[in-house]
Formats: sequence, structure tokens, C-alpha cells
Amino acid sequence: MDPGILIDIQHLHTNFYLREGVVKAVNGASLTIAKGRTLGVVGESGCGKSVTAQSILQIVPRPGRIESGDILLHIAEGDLDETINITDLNPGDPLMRDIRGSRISMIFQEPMTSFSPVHTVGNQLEETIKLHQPEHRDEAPTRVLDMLRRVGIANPERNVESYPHQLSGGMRQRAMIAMALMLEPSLLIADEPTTALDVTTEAQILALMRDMQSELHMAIMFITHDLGVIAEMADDVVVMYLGRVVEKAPVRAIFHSPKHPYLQALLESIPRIQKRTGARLQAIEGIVPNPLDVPPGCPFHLRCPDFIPGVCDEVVPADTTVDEGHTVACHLYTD
Amino acid sequence: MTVATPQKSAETSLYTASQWQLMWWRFSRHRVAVVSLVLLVFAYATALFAEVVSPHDPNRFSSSWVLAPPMRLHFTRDGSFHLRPYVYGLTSARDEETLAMVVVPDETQVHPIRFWVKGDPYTLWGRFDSDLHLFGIDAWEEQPLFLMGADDLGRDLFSRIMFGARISLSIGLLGVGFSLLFGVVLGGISGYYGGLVDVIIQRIIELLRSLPTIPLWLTLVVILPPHWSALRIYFGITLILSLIGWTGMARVVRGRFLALREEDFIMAARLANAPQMRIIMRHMVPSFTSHLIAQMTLAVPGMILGETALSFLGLGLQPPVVSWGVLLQGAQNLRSVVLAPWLLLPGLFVVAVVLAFNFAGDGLRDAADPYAI
Amino acid sequence: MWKFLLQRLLLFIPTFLVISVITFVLIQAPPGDYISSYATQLEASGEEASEALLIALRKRYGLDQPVYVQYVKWLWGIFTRLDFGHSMQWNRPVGDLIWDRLAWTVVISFLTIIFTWILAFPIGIYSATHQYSGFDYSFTFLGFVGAGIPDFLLALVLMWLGFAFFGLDMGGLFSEAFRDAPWSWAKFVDMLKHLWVPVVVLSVSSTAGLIRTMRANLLDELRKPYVITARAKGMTEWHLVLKYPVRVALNPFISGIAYVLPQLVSGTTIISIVLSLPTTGPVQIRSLMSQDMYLAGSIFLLLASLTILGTFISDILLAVVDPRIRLE
Ligand SMILES: Nc1ncnc2c1ncn2[C@@H]1O[C@H](COP(=O)(O)OP(=O)(O)OP(=O)(O)O)[C@@H](O)[C@H]1O
Ligand SMILES: [Mg+2]
Repeated sequence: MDPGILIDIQHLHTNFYLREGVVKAVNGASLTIAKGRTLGVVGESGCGKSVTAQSILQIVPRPGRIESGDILLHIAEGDLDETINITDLNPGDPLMRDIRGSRISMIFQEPMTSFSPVHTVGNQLEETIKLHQPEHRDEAPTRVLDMLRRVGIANPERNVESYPHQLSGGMRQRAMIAMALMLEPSLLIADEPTTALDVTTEAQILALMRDMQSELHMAIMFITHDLGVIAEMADDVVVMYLGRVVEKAPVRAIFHSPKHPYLQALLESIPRIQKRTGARLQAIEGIVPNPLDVPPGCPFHLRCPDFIPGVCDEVVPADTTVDEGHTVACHLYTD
Repeated sequence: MTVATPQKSAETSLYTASQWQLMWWRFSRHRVAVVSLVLLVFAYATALFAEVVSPHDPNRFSSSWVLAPPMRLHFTRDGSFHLRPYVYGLTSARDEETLAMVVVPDETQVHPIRFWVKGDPYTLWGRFDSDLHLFGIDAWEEQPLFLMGADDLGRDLFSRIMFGARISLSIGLLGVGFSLLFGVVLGGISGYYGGLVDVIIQRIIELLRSLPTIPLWLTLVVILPPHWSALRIYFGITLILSLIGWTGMARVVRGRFLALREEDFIMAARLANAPQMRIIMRHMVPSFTSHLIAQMTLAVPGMILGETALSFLGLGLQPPVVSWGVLLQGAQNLRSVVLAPWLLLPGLFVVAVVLAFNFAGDGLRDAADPYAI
Repeated sequence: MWKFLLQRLLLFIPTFLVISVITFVLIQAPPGDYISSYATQLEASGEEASEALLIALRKRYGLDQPVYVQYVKWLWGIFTRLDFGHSMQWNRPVGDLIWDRLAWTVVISFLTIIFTWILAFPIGIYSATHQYSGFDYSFTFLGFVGAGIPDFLLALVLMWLGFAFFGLDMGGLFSEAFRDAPWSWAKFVDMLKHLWVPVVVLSVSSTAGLIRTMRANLLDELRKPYVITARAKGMTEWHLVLKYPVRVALNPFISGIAYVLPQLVSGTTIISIVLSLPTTGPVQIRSLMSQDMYLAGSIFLLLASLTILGTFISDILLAVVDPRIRLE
């Protein structure tokens, strides 16, 4: 494994088994996250971004389950140098629990409901330390105060005693980040962390995340709908469609030489002026097919302007490398 | 929405099915609920035809058959099996131990049970005279058929239960009818207008819900004028029972109104300046009928149990009116229950009907609102 | 929190007044007053009820005054002297007759609440965390059955089974030997031997309801994002379920007192007849049958106040456990 790579996901399949049928939420996605860099993940609602993130932590909610594929986590720390395949572990495995919250942690879209309403912020933050470093439990309160200060929460002594409903949305997201970074993880997964915030607060939180990243040298997996935010935050980008990764490239290539018709349509649908902020991925013609009934061949063929009959609706396109670090899964680029 | 996704025909019909069909499909998946519904239809049909279904006149008494035990149905005679069951006749004998007269089966008399036999004359629904009973024995004049034993006056308990079903089951429906009336009107007003009216109605509901029902009902029942006819008392009690029952209904109605108020088609009607009452009747009421039906089904047991409790305590309906609660009065003390446990049988019918309503209601609620828990 | 509690307390007072008005109307509703019933009674026993005597009696009890004056006097008597009026049937002050009995009603209801909680809590948690398992289905089913059996019928059947198979008399609160004995350890033990019967009977239906409440609330909470947060922190499943969603689902459980209590008081009334318990139930029925309305009305007033007080207590508890209310 390339030493610069932290997470390597290969052909991940995660399904939800519902009464109505099987939802293939992640349907053979492959991607890599490099150490210390930010991977942006974009795609329409329901394309499997969150489920991919949940799969990395093995916290896919019932009735969902990782069906097959590999999620390799590379740990290099002092003398330690090993690779763990997360999909080999049970969700309840002690090693898995150990990874969660200490090596990989996650922040969510809803800072209000992501905290328990009846426990103090301090209580919930200290818990991370108590869980993973029980031998340091005495230091927990001071470390929490320290971390709250680092993420820019004013008057931390008072705010640790607060309940979530007493904080503002931005403060709660800061506290959430503090909780996630408490043990200095090597990967922070941020699932639309700023969607619920207003524009000014959003900018502050993004700045905070960048600062913390350079301080702690961690990788970030940044999930969003917002191409503007991607342009601002990401080093590398993957584009997902219906449970698959259709294109991955460094962020410049994504905006300057998009290859997949889906990505091209996405970028065209954004008026130039709005390109930086507030652009959402909804303006493409057609609807996403029912995930219970995924069409054969390329998942995008029903909406694709360059649809090739007899090919696109029959064969699933393989990844094709079009440039250094730039791959696309589309029949237009296979030779 | 320009690219159509190909749909299988079954799925297409899923989209075009009416709300009611969808509800029925979902309901029919809930097997216990379906069985319960069938049971209820059967129970109400039986109550409707109580005269025909019961082998005897419910008031026909005889000192010879006081507390006669239930008769056993026999299918085998002289070692061979007969599809037509028969019963032994009854005779009085002296208990060797207590020296009291008791009724015991007399194995020398064999009475096969037949369909459509003659029996006590009756007038069905105050209109049709007949003396045909669904089943019975030929010698009905000398020998009663006590499938569930006899009460302390030697009356046939089974026949009395059949007639009691008429009162007990109808009180459930009528009470829910009253509750529905109050509930839709008050809950509707509360949810539609909101504001102070809503606050007041909600307070009243809260108050009523915090009162202990049986003590309240008991006290109210006592102030019904004693000279009232049985029919009026029946209506009075039903009204009293629905005094609490409407609150549940009003909650559902109000909740749905609040949700619906914001929905587009109501807004459209408002913008089109339709009169308010018409908005309510034409658009809002039908759209939550399904929820109401479920809620109503779940409210019936409360009514039936209420009547049973009041009558059991001797403060509800009074003999000669027959209801399941009135019948259970006979089992009020331990002595009679020990002596004649079959006097508890009306209770079994109460439980069966209440359970059936609860299961059916649960199924209906799931069908009406698949996302609620 | 104080504001919230004060609000609730202020609500309690008008509620009580409304109930007292209802009660007074009920007391006054039967035709005639108790002096005329008294006259009828006297006549029935062959005595002459002179007009003068009746007028004197009316005056003494204030029955010659307008109804609202009577109401205010009655309420004043209750507030200042705990004087609930006079029981015609027993010819004694109502208060004397009911305090002991009310205490038993409270004891039985209280024990039942505790018992239902002990049962419903773990079962509800298990059912929610193992949704659609065999255990969950059985308890849902049992819950339905429990809710469908009238408690008085259950009490009757239990009494009958106890007697028919074990020769036990399960009625009453004390055995013959202890009924009039002064309190002692042995009497206490004897009481416990009897007390479980009403507690179990009453628990059957309310436990079913509570399990459903707990299960539904917990299922709701288990879907909330904060559970995922806790999971993503690396907590074990049991630890996180007990620490977060169960803790949050506790709140509706506590406010559940408000609706369980009226149900229990109501149930106690009726099963006390069957089980011959010395609660307010039997006295209330007897007084209603003989139209002894002051006694009947006072019992109703007290029971209703009791359940409303229960609502108030559940509000206090809720404020204590829920910071969202406490820190309002
Ligand atoms: N708990 C669940 N139960 C059933 N299906 C689920 C569940 N969670 C996700 N899915 C299904 O998995 C698919 C992918 O969902 P996912 O949440 O990953 O989408 P997403 O890309 O994160 O969308 P969004 O941008 O709206 O967050 C969807 O079709 C969704 O219906
Ligand atoms: Mg998502």
C-alpha cells in the first residue's frame, strides 16, 4: 500500500434490507483518502455519501449491512505500521470501537440533535477520553476546557456546564468539532457539517476546520452538496452517483477538465456567478432512479446526453485513467 | 421530471391505487387484525340475530334448573363417532355431601342437537314473528339446552349472553358515535381556529383526562333521573361514557387539522375564498377519515369496558335489561363464582370483543399511517 | 424552573375550583335535598316529621340559602376546617369516614406505579432494542391481552382460582386475626401477603400501556442523531443505549404518571368491591346507592384532587430530570 494513503476503499457494497426490497446504497464504490489531505465527496441526495462514511466507521444503521468490499485503514505511528481491513471486523468488535472516536471521528449536519439534550456539553466531551484513555480520566476536564478554547468557544468554563439547547448553532458545531478532535484522530469525517448553518457561521466553521487540520495533520473526508465549498476545502474530489464513484480527480481537474457527463452537467447547471457559494446539485434534468431498482449498465444512462445504446444500458463502465490521479467511469473514455 | 423511469405494471398500479385500496392492502397484511375484524363482524351479526341464534327465550326461568352446569357436547355414542353432537338431559339430585339439591346430567336421556328447531316464540326486531331457532333440541319444552349453564333463576346463560351482546356491542358503537360527534366538532374547532379557543379546549381535555373515570361515571350515573325508561337510561349512560371518550378523538382531529392547515390544497381553497365550513367538510374531513376510523375502533373497547364496569357494580343498566355487565353482576361475590364458575363466561365474551377491537384498531392505524409507531 | 412550577401551581388552583364546582353540582343534582330524604326516612320508620323540625334542620344546614352561598360555605368549610359536610347515611362527618380509606387508595396506587415501573422499564428497553424479535412480539401481544382484560374480572378470576385450587381467601387487606389488631411487625407482614393481589391486578393493564410508551419513545430516540454520535465515539451498544436514549425516553415515562394515576385510582375503586379492600371504592358505591351525596361527592372531589396532584408531581419530577424545562 502506498505509504501516503490513509484509507483505501475497494468495491464497497452496503445494502439496506427493507420489506420493499434491497436498497443498494453503496454499490461498488472505490476511493482513497490520502494522509493529511482533504477529500471532497459530492453527489446528489441519496447517492450514498453518508452511507459510505458510516461504512468506514461500521456504524451503518439497521437494517443496513456492509455486503462486501474492503476498507483498508493504514496505521503508521512510531514503530507501528499495519493495515487493518475494517470490513473484516464486526461492528461490535473492540478493535473497531477503538478506531471509532480515536483514529477516525465524525461530525454531522445537525449540531443540535447530534448532542444528547439532557447531558451537559462537558459530560459528552469528556466521555471520549474516558472511553479511550481511561487511565487519563482525571485529566479529562482540563483537556476538554483546553480543546474548547482551541476551537474558539468563548468562556469554556461556563460552557462545559451548559446543555446543548443553551448554545447557538455555530457554538454547537464548534463543540462537536472539539469532541471529534479530542483524541487527535488521523481522519475526520465531516458529513455536511455546515448545511444547517448560516453563511457567516459556515465560513467560520470551514476556517476552523482548515486551521485544525494544519495543526493536527489529519485527513478530512468532506461530504457536501455544495461545489463552492468543495472548491474551497478539498484537495481531491470524488463524484458519486447512485452508490458508485463515477469520477475522481484533484480539485483543479474537477473544475477545469471534468470528464463524466454527469459532472459536466452538474458544473454547467451552475451559473458562473454562483459558482463559489450556494450552488446545489439539483438542477440536472431527470430524476435519480429508484435505488430499489437500479438500472443495468451505467447508472447514469437514463439521464445521459451522450447515451450509447447497447453499451451504456448493458455494461457497467470500468474506471479509466485519463490523467495523473484522474479516473472516470464512463464508456466515452474506454478505448 | 422529464425522464420516465420504466416501471413494472404492478408498480404502476401502486401509484394509481386509491388511498382506500392502499389502506386495505396494508391492513390485509396484518393477519391478526384481519382475523379480529372477521370475528367482530361475526359478533355483531350474532347480536343482530340474537333471537334466532339463542336456543331459548332469555327470560324463560325455571326453579328446577337453578345454577345448572353447562352441558357437554358428546360426539361418540357406543364407541362410534357421530358428526351430529348430542347432550344428556338434566335431572335434579341431592348432593351426597351437602344434601343440597343440585342439577346433574341424566345419561339415560339423549338429545341430539339439530338445526332450525322449534322453540320459544319470538318477534325479531319487533316485526317478524317466528319460533324457529338456529339450533336446539327437539324436546325443548321439557328439557332446556344449557350450553353455558344456567343462572340463579334457571335461565339459559348462553341465550342471555347473545341478548346481552346486543346492548354491550351497540353501546360501544353508539358511544363512539357520540364521541366522534363531540370530538370532530370540538377538536376541529380547536385545530382549525387555534388561539384562545384552542387553549381553552385543550385545558378542558387535559382536565377530563386527569379525572379518574369510574368514580366520575358512577357519580354521573346516579344523577340520571330514576323514573327514566330503560331506553333513556341506556342513552344516558352512553352519553356519560362518551364524556371522556371524545377527548381522544378530539386529539386526533386537532392534530390532523394542524398538519393539514398548512397543506397546499387547503390554502388553494382558502385563496379561492370557499366558505370556511365548506373547506372543513369538503377537504379536511375526508383526508383524515382513515385516521379517525382507526381511532374509533380503538375507542370502542373503552366504552364496552365502561358499561360492563358500571353495570357490574349495579349502578349502570339494571335488570331486566340484559347486558354483559348486568350478567356479570351474578358473579359479583366469591361464593357464587365458586358455586357456579360459568357465571364468569360473559367476561370471556367481553375480553374477546375488546381484544378483537384493539387488534383490528392497531391494524387500521398501521394501515392509515405506516410511518407512525 | 421556578417559573414553570409556579405556572403549573397556578394552573392547579383553577383546576381544583372547576372540579369543586362540578362536584357541588353533582351533590345538588339529585332531586330533593337530604332533609327531604331524611323526612321520607323518618316517615318510613313511622315517625312524624314535623314541618317545624324540617325548617329548623334546613336552617341549620344552610339549605334555605341560595345555591352559590351554599357552595362558598361548603368550599370554605373544606379549606378552613377540612369539613366536607355531613354523611346522612352514617350520620357522621364525611371526613371521619374517608381519611383512612383515602390513604389506602393512595398506598395501593403508589405501590402499583412503582411495581409497573419496575416491570415496564426493562421490558420496554428490551423490546425497543430488539424490535420485531420474538420477545418483542410476545410482549406486544401480552400487552394487548393485559389491556383487554377488565381489572375487576381479573380480580374475580384470581380470587376464584386461589380459592378453588389453594383454598385461599385473597380478599381484604388483613387476615381475620389481624383485622382489628394494633399495628405490629406480624400485622405488616400479613398486610403484604394480601396487598400484592390488588397491586398485581392493577399492574396488568397499566404495565401494558407503559411498556408500549417506553418502547415507542425509545424507538424514537434510537433514531436520533445523538445516538449515532455516541456510536461514532466508540461506545459499546449497551452503554450508549442506557446512557443516552433511555435517559431521554425517561421523560415521557415520568409524565406518564399523569395519565396512569387516574387509571389506577379508577381501577382501585372497582377492584376494591371484588376484593373487599378498605379503600374509598366500597364507601363510594354504597353512598351513591343510597344517594348520600355529600359523602359520594366528597370522595369524588378527593380522588380527582389526588389525580390532579399526581399531574402536578409528575410536572415537578419532569422539571427535575429534564434540563430543557429546568433551565427554561
Ligand atoms: N437507515 C436507512 N434505512 C433505509 N435506507 C437507507 C437508510 N439510510 C440510507 N438509506 C438509503 O441509502 C441510500 C443512500 O443514502 P445516503 O444517506 O448515503 O445518501 P446521501 O448521499 O448521504 O444523501 P444526502 O445528501 O441526502 O445526505 C438512499 O437511497 C437511502 O434511501
Ligand atoms: Mg447524507
